[in-house]
Amino acid sequence: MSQQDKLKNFVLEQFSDIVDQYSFSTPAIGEEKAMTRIDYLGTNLAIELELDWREFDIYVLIVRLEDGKLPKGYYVSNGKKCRKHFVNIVREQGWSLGNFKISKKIRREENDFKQDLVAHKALLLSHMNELLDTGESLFA
Amino acid sequence: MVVLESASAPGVKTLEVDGVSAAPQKPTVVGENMRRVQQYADEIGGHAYRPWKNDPVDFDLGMRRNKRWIKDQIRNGREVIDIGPDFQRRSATGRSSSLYEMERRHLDGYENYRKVFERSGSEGGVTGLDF
Repeated sequence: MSQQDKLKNFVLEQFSDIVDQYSFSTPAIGEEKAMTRIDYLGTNLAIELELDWREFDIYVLIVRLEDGKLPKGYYVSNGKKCRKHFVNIVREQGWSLGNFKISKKIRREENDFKQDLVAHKALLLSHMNELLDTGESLFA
Repeated sequence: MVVLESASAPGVKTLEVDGVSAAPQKPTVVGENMRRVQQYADEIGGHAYRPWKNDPVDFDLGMRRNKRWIKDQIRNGREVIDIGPDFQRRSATGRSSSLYEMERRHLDGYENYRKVFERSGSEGGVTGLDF
């Protein structure tokens, strides 16, 4: 199994709580140029994980769905903001970052990827109820 | 070698070598985060870097390939459009892409290079794409 496939499986295993405990959809996996995208769809919002193989990095974004579907645009769709990095939402909303810490290394390695993933997951789960309560107004 | 702009398709350049026109060249789009670069390239009919598979990830190999590509764009006289940093990603991670920084270093002083993003400190981007 390739490194990227192993890491994809690691990510899916780590984020299985989102499906089991918070009624998001089973993950939809998309492969783009040097990126794997994993989307967990809810009613109005989705949680999107970007596994960027070119940068060897992982990003967690919250997506505002359009009629229950992923928007066509990336950060902006139909003239409205549709994606935000979850870390930026936490800061905007004044929620606690707790012990959230990710690697600042430029030459990233597999361990940096995994450690960052675990940090992102912990931050997301610690604010999941606030996220769901706030809903689409995160994009207002 | 002369680069001409097509009257019927502004932004699309034609290369003229010894008075003979070659096929029109799409502009090359660079920027931070390939997903937004590709979206912008699709919108304007441009061309973006297509990284080769790099699995397991080898940082130096990825950098060497990317460097060769940007040098090729310059050598071929392509128009290069820079959509700039992904400020939202930078805000989230606290770091920038070393690959994009390398591209910018090579493009510094290149005559056929154009920036289309706005910047105000650590914020900015391209209207309609980022905000």
